[in-house]
Amino acid sequence: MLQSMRDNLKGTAAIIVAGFFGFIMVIGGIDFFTGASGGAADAVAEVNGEKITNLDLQRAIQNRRNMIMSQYGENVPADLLSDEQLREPVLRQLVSSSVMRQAAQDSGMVMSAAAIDREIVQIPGFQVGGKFDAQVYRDALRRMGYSAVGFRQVMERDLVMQQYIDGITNSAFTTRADAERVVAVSMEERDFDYVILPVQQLLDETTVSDSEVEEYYQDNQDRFQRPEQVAIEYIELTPELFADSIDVSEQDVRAQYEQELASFQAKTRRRAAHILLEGDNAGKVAEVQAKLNAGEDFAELAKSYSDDLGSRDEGGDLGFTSGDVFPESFEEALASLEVGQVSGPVTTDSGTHFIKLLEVENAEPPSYEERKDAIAAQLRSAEAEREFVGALERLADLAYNADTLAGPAEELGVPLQTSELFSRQGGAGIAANDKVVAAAFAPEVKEDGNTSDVINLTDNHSVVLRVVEHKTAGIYPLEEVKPQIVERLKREKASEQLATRAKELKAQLEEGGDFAELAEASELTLETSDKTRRGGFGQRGEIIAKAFELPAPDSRGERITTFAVSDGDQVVLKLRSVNPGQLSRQSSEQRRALIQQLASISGGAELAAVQRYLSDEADIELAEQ
Amino acid sequence: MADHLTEQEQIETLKRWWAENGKGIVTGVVLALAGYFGYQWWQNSERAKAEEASNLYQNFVEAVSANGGEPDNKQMTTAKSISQQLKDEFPKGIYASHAALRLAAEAAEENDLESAEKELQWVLDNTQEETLKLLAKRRLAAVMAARGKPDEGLKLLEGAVPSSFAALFAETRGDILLQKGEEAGARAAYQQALAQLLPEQAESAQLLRLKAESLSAQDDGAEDKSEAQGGENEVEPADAGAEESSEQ
Repeated sequence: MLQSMRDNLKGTAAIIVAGFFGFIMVIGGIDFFTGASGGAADAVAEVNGEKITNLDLQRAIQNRRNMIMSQYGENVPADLLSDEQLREPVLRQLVSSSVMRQAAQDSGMVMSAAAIDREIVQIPGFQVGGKFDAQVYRDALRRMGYSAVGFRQVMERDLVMQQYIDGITNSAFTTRADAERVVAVSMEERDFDYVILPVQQLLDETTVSDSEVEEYYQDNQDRFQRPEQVAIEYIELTPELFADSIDVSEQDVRAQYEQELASFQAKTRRRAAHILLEGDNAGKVAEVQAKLNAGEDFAELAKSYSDDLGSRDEGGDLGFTSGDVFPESFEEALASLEVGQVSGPVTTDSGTHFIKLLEVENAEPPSYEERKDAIAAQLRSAEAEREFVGALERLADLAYNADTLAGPAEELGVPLQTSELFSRQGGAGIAANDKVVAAAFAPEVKEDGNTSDVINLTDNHSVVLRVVEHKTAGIYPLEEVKPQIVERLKREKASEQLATRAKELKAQLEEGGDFAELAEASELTLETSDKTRRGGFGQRGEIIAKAFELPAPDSRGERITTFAVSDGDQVVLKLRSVNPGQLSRQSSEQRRALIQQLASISGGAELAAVQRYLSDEADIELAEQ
Repeated sequence: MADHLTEQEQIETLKRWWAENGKGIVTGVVLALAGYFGYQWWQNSERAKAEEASNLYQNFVEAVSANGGEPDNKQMTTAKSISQQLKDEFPKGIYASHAALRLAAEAAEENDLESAEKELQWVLDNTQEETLKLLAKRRLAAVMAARGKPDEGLKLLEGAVPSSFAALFAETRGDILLQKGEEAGARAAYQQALAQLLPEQAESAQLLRLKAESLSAQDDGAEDKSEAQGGENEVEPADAGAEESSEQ
């Protein structure tokens, strides 16, 4: 049951629950207190007198971070995961779930001990091999700093909150009549014809006077706001920059290959089996030794004597070791054996072992020819990496206080690059990077003309920059924007001219003219659009939207309209028929899916309303940060 | 004072004092103990009752969600009988209301509007929770309208509504008005819903906009506005976006 409840989770609820369980799963080894400001027990918010502590907040931020990372991988920009970015939304969510939780408990929802147990044993973080493990559970609780009782209380609170939320969302529904009305609109189909009168053909013969341009420029100053802009020169360092100029001698490649060969041979892998006798039982040891000497089957003996539960049913098989898996005395004994041979008793901390060497694996080392390209590339990139690091250190010194970056660039033998002007919104190329933009607009760089610090964009990509041009915010001069204004005014004029023709066409249509013939006479293409649904992109989307704005044709006949689309083209459109969507025409699966979707949207909106209502009623205090 | 009395006299004084006050003290202690244990017992029994209701509700949800939300007849019978038990034994409890809300949804899904109405009315009459009352009202209004009683539905939606529920109520009012053929009123209601929508209800916006837009088209039927639509749109050059970035 609770599984199905969880499947139905949506939105906030899912995040709260996933956050909670996710937290338990990832708990190992996380130090919650890193980056925490203030004491762990300090309240960051109070909801109806119930405290949300700094520790709660830090835990929740860490959960959210882990969730984002598990969802989007490691490539999420670091500042999206920073405490500052996550703090506010996470705190808001904590407050709102605290409100819900209290509402659930105040309403009288509880969980019996048995019900809580049923949930605890299902949490993957407390399981080993898919089964609940009491020891793992106790360890996890200790790591999280919960007592058993405390943890059960937390579980109860979260479970009743979930019950409360599910009670609202899972009981939402849509009546058949409402669904029919929605389908009538959303799946409505319209049949219409239209012609496009292209503005392009009129543009060349349209003229715009300077005074018109000037007037438009003066009347629309707000359209020509120019943001503050800078252009930079910069030195960009990456290891690749150095890789090309590095020669790797064949001698070095050979030497590296020899080394690989040596370590390769060291990696002989041996497959061991053992019989383990725990404790100090000399009698048993002697007994097994005797049976081994008598030639009894090792695997059978392992089965009946070995105290190693993990291996005894597999004939004592422990798998492969490269010499570093087992204790030293074990490995030494194993290494001295021939395949099939069994050792005498060997003692380790675990007890006494009889060891059998099952198999030796000596993989063939790859040939020099096979490896040389890869090795050369490896050496080159390692050397490039070294030069990169060296250059990076020198760059910091060279660039500091430099009047221009040309000197440092030459010194390091790397190119000096320049950017176009860009605003705080960023620009093309290097200016697309937020860190670069932030550095360029820092006052000491932008205004004082200093070089920036070395900015590490990634581990292998660093930049130093200097502002070479700084334009304060203002209004673009007329000369710069004139071509755009001319273009715009031309389109407007041409479009107006076209509108007259479009209206003539419309009038002819209304007098009963044949659309196809009229179109042909005007050298226009008649487009027929049957069974068209809402939506669509670009010009076609605009035309469809207009076609759907028209009232349905009535007894007076078809609906004809003219309108301009955003690029200035004029359209004459004749709406022939309107067919509302019909729920009964859908397959039963589609019907069910649609009704479920409507119910789910409704349930989501109702949950949001309840949440807002409770928050409005609650006494919420946020501590000053 | 005790210094001047003999041992015998002290005992006498104690005895007299006990004869006067002993009964009162014993009664007091007994009462206090009874009160303490009584309160404990009461609390435990309240908790036990609440847990019983919770367990019943979990069994209910399990039955009603069986087969991936498609319970068979037997499971539905089980669900209904548990719901009845909750109503009988814990009528003011939250779980009885939640079960009734869920049964109403199941009934509405089967187009059994009579049962849906009954369940929702029960919630409205019995629940102690203001939020559930508001939810039940809105849902009941939709069901009543679907049963051919739009005016009764509208009546439920009248009166002051907390701002958090304003959009929901307005949307349902729009649906009912539309059903009655009052398109202008419906459009106004949808527009009100859009205006009062909470940020967390963004998912509903698209649907509301669609409903409102379809009505503006229908409603203009009387007068033909298309004349005015020609050429009035502001024309933008194809490279309109270039202004802001012309210098880059």
